[in-house]
Amino acid sequence: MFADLNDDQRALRGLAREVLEGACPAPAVRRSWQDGGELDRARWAQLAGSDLLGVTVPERFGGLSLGSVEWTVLLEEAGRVVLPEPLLEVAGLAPALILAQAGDDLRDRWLPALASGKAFVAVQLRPGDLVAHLDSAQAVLVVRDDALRVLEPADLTATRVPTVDRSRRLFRLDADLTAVAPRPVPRDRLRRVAALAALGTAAMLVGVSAALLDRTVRHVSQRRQFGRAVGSFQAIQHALANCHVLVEMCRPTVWQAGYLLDHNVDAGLAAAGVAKAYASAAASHVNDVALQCHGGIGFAWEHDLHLWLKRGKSLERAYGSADDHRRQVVTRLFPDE
Amino acid sequence: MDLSYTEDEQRARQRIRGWLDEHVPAEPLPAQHTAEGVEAHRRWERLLHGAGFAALHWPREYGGAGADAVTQAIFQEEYLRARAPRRLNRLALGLIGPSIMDFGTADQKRRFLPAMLTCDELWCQGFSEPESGSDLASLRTRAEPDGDGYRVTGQKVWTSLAAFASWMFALVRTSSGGKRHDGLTMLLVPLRQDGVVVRPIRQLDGEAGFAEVFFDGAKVPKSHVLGAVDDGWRVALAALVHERATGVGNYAQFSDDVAQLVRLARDAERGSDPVLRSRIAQLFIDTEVFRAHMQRVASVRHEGELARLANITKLFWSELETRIFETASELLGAEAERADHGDLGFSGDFQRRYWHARASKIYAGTNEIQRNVIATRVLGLPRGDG
Ligand SMILES: Cc1cc2nc3c(=O)[nH]c(=O)nc-3n(C[C@H](O)[C@H](O)[C@H](O)COP(=O)(O)OP(=O)(O)OC[C@H]3O[C@@H](n4cnc5c(N)ncnc54)[C@H](O)[C@@H]3O)c2cc1C
Repeated sequence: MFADLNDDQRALRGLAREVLEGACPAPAVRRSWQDGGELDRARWAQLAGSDLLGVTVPERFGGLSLGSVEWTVLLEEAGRVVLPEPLLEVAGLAPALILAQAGDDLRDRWLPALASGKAFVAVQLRPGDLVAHLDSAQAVLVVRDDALRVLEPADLTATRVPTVDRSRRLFRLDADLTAVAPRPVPRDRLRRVAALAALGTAAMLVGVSAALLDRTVRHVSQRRQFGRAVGSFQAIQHALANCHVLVEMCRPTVWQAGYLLDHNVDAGLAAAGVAKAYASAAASHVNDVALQCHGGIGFAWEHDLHLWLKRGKSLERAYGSADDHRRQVVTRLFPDE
Repeated sequence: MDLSYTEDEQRARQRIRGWLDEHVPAEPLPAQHTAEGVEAHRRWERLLHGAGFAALHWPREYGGAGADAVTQAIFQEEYLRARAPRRLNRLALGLIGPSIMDFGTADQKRRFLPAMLTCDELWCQGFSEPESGSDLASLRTRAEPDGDGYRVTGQKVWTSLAAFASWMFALVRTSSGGKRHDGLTMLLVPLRQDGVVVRPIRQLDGEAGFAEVFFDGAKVPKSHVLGAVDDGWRVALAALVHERATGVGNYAQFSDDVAQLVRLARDAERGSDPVLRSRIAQLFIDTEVFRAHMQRVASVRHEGELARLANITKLFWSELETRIFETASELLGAEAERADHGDLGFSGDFQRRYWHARASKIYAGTNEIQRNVIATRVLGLPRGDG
């Protein structure tokens, strides 16, 4: 039993942090807000060049053959820099769905292209879900009724939906699914992909929360009132100490869920829900404290803080809110109802 | 990350489980805060010691099993599963013994460690005083040189287990004038002597678990100074790190408590209430999060990282325990007011556990102090009015 990141996993975290901080500094996120979150192909190529897009893709398809733990480590770093691109879907859910179905044709066609960054594939797990970057996708993987359908751009209409976080580029998808052949996927495998979606989102939220905490610590250490740094006031210190506890408690929960989804799927399904429930609630709290401790400047559109605040609010609800996942725990603990 | 147990770990679990299944008394022992209870628990501890289970975390050279943190957690899981008796010499095994290993002379180790394992000598921790709680370094109980040793004068308070202890691990003042942290010394004080009066104090849970201890010229030989004279603050801080390292298996207790809440809720009339069920589900989530955290702690090797996680552990665990028992009270409804609590679940121990939980945010460094430490030492915030 070893319930911490090992040296390789720490090295991956270091690499991901370095690459993502270089490729996606705050001004780049600002630009993305201005251009409506358009896919930045140079940035995407940079991630591909550092092998970060194929983390969970098997080696024979050009990936790193790593597990879900490593994948959550990567996503935490993506959350930390509020990466506009949908790394969760393209470099996680898409390969997982393709591996969950049996067709070699899909694997051969898409996995190497996903790992190398040459292809960009969107995902819709549930009817009505908004789809990220649908306009740049060469294909959309749509899950319905125990089956996967691969839609080409010609099969669908994409309608842009304006979002509060303007670097999240979301679309409503309309398509006649009966016109596309379904590929059956075992139900437990689809459940695992849904759990990966919740878990990956939880991991990104941990990154968002950690970044909010870092930024807030920096701000209150510099901002002075009453002749001293506001970070020396105990009310501020205790609020931030609580945030630190929340962030640190999230991490091992997320890692363990990642491990379990690869080794013991039933336990992993439950653990991923626990992780998302906890990370969403923690993120909501940190979000609140971060704005409060910034005072008026934090409420100014021009200040960078809201890039993190707004991404956090989106992710809190994406793939199930804290309440949604707690409701599932209720159902599991009290199966009679 | 590797959550599977190694073959060695699985074998250790089997051995522990087999032994406990065979030896754990069928009937609960008498309460620990009675003389009869102390004797019964002492006998149990000797049995544990004979099997090599008294101090898994102590190195072999001192009579322990030299087990790593994961094996300790396995032991605590199994200990709980077997509903084995509450441990007796907790402070000696968890905090004072390891401090003697760190700072003690060869003579001190030989003299004190074996009797801790057999519970021939029970220990208490004398830090807090009436005027010095959170601000520990302000303490005033003083030790003055006298012939071949010291004479101790002053008062300790809230001293757990003092009523039955024969020794105290006491932080006292040996010089004043300089910086206040610098004039403190750790003494190993024999309590069974003239000049020491122990007066038990009844706690909110009804037990006389702690006590006040008065020193009026009590004698302590020079050979019972632990570490250097005037260097007691360093010894005390190191002891607190050991204190935090002992609870690696606590999560098993909480998970078990929540499982019990679920069972109670399934049977109770109030148990179908969706608001209550939601609260219990949240506790389930919190205990799972705590388990993952403690398993991480058991895996961390780096001292600095361990110390950083220890403050988090104390905050989280104490607040979780309080929430668990508040929710249990809610579930019991009007019944929770009853003092004849034998049938209220939690092994007939509901009221004691409820009230004991209420103390957990106060002892082992109040939660406010833990937050101060996180803010200034971990987050690096500027020191201020805290
Ligand atoms: C059940 C139990 C068992 C105990 N066992 C032992 C034992 O075996 N040995 C022993 O030595 N002691 C023991 N204690 C004592 C315990 O360590 C102290 O109660 C604790 O350190 C707090 O000190 P105090 O009671 O003087 O409270 P105070 O220090 O007076 O604190 C009162 C309140 O003020 C807050 N406060 C104080 N300073 C600050 C600050 N700087 N910033 C913010 N808030 C602050 C505290 O957090 C608390 O809420 C035990 C206590 C309990 C309840």
